[in-house]
Amino acid sequence: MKHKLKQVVWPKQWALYGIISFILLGKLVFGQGAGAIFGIVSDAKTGERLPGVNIQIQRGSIGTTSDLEGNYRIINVPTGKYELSFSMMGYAPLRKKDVSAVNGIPTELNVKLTSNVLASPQIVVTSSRKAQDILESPFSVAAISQREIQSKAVVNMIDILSYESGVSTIKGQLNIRGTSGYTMGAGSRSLLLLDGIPMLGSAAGNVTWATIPTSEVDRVEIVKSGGSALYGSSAMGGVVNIITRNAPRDPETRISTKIGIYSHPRVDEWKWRESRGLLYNTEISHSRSIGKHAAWIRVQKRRDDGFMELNWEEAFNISGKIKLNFGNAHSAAVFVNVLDDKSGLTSIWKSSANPFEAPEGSKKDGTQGRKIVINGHHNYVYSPALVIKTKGSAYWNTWDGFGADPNYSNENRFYEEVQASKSWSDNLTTIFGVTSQQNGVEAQIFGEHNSSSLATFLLLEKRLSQFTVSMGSRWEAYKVDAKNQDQVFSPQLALNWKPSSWLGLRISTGKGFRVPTVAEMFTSARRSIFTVEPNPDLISETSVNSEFGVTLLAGQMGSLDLLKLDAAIFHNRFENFIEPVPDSDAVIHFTNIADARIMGLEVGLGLSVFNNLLDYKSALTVLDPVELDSQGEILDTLSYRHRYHWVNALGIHYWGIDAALEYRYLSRMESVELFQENDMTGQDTRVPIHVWNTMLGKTYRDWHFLLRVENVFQYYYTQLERNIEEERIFTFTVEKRF
Amino acid sequence: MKYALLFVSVLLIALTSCEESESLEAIAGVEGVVNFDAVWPDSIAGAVVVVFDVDLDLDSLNTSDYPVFDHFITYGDPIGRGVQNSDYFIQLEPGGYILMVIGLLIDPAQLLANEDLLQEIQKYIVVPENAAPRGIVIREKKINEQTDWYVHF
Repeated sequence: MKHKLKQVVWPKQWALYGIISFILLGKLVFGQGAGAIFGIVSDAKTGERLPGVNIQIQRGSIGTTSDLEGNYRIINVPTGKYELSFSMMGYAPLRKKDVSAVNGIPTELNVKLTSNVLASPQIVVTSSRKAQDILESPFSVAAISQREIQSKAVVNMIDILSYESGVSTIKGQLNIRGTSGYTMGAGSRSLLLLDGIPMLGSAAGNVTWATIPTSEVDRVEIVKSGGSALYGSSAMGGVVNIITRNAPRDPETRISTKIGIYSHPRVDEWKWRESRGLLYNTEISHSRSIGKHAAWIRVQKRRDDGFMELNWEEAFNISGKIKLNFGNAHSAAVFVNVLDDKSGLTSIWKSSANPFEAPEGSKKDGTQGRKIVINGHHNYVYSPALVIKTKGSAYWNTWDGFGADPNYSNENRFYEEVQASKSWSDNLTTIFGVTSQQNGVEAQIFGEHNSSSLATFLLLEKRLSQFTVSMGSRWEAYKVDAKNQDQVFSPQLALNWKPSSWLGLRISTGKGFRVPTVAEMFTSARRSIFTVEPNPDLISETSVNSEFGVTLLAGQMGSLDLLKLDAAIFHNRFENFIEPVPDSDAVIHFTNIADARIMGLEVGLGLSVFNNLLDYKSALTVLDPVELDSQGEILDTLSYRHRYHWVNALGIHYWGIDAALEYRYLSRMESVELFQENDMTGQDTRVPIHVWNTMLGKTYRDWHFLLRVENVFQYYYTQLERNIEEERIFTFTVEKRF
Repeated sequence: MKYALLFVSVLLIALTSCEESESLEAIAGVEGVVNFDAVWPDSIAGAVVVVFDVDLDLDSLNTSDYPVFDHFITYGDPIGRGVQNSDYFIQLEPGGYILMVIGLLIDPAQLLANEDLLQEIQKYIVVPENAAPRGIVIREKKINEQTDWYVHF
């Protein structure tokens, strides 16, 4: 790849611009001897000009993005030599050293970026509540690009997350560094944000992944540490921020259909239906500009027979987003999602001899409901040094159970946030704000309850040469049923060292907390022979999270197109950890057990070589999760955590065909909560997990075809007691863009 | 290209040489349905299907020195009081066994939470009037499906 780097003489319009600017802005513009850098960013393979490329000079203090024609221009660059970084999702990052800014002479620098499926966003916004180079992040962050999501044709967002180191899932419950385990749908220690707005359910604090419009996601950022200083309750175990895309200015229509067919069980005795299970997912979306605004709308219909008898689900979803532009100072966006869904409901299999069948008496059990999400935000650029962001959200969720166990729940949640970012100088930034949230729930098994919270947060970031120091804190108070339940103060401290343009090191410690959910405090239910009783005296669990990590990001060196390496060691200590605990009468209460500790190691590697012929992605997580007594002595292994988790994906791209092979390994679950599976006879359904997936894709003009096979070798395993996991499924996706 | 092929080959060898797969497979055991009278006596808190390795003397089953636990192999999921019928399944190694249904004087959930109670199980059981023990044979990877019960306490 060749890049043009040359100096040109001022054209007339630049001179005119300079004169006007000088008159208007005086010293601020050219007073100290400033130059400009401009050029065109294009695709190395197709030559197509690239809009939206992020261009940063040195440590991110000056930057811009390319316009719709791929042009960029950075003015007011003090005279000197600089390193410029060019990054865009789906493209390998590019750095150009020794770019000169000369007083009065603009420098032209045209670059070409190379497309790469592993390339993730280099600018992240979640770990410090502001745009930041991932190498300068104070905490471990993984970023997943839209292209990587689309390359796997996932329908449910959670399916893409466990390809990252430190992240795993159990029955739809997210685990970052093993903090959540499995809490039976009653409380998550990982916070889900949609465009920066909390999305956990108001009753159980769980995640409804179906409300995320996967195909309209621009990128995902996973903050794996840092505690609760910035995002409050539930962020003690990490944060997943899903950022939806803004509509492009040019009209675009996309039609996508995914069809799938499940295999019959490999074990003849387990065959439970005559015809094979099917699934389909059809989506139509359209995006366009409306005056100076832009919007997209998506309609989705899906039906999945499931691999188990009560694993079926169907849904109809309409979502949309409008981005409003009111000039340079104001912008706003509104996101709306309405989801009608219906699904089967079972907690355990019929028996280990019939693992795909539901128990007699529960074969017709299910739920149906409607979820409505309205999120909005407004950005006000008061001055280049002061930006004020306002966010608001409303969420309603109603569902009714049917079958042998009718139930109902009506939930609502309202969220408000005001945040200000103030830059005092090039080296000192503060971010501060206020949030509040109000929850209401009326459900058969919880009763009727209200809760609310109010929080303030403050973050200071100071740059000292190659170092960045971050200090933050959050104070939060919450009420349950008008009773002042608790107040929590969560500080954090982090240091980042970026000794070169391709390496970043970080060390941090922070305090986290999680407010008990209504489900944990007030559930009163009897299932089979088990009884769950309320415990309104639950208090917040707290944690101290510490980590040391390193990120290496390099691109285009000889045969190497891209190298990403991220490694971290972490130590999380919890107090008043909330777990469901059966007493001697087998009555289950959610209880503040003494302490717990999870420490471990994670390594993520991304590698692309030979002009993108091969790419390889690997994510390794090693955990040591233990329950402690008040003296710090180890009592037991925490339930529902895999000690080892290793994911590998190998991709080959040749003749316009993309092929991939994936392998996922999880060590045997060492501890579960309810059924240790017949200790007396040694029979046990907990086994190590080895799952292979493969795929073959082809893009032809505006068409994209993808054949994918999951669990190729029909490996059978459990993660939860008496719940078999995934059957082999063949899926075929066709997508057409107009 | 040859480096690419070498890379892929080494990687595949590394991946496939990992721990040997232990996928769940077909198992052997016994399954059936336990039917109960419409009205349960007040004293019975639940029931459970139990497996012994010998045919026990029912008249001695409640005596404290009778070695019930010594002949205990395993048991099915406890059945809550008031149930009219319930499926059961017990995974077993191939071989011969004695099955019977017993009533429980304690909440069956307690049995799950405190397996130590099994060691003195004779304190907590009631033998139904009409549920005589049955001998069964379990074969490799086969489910014995012929053992339903009608229980009258």
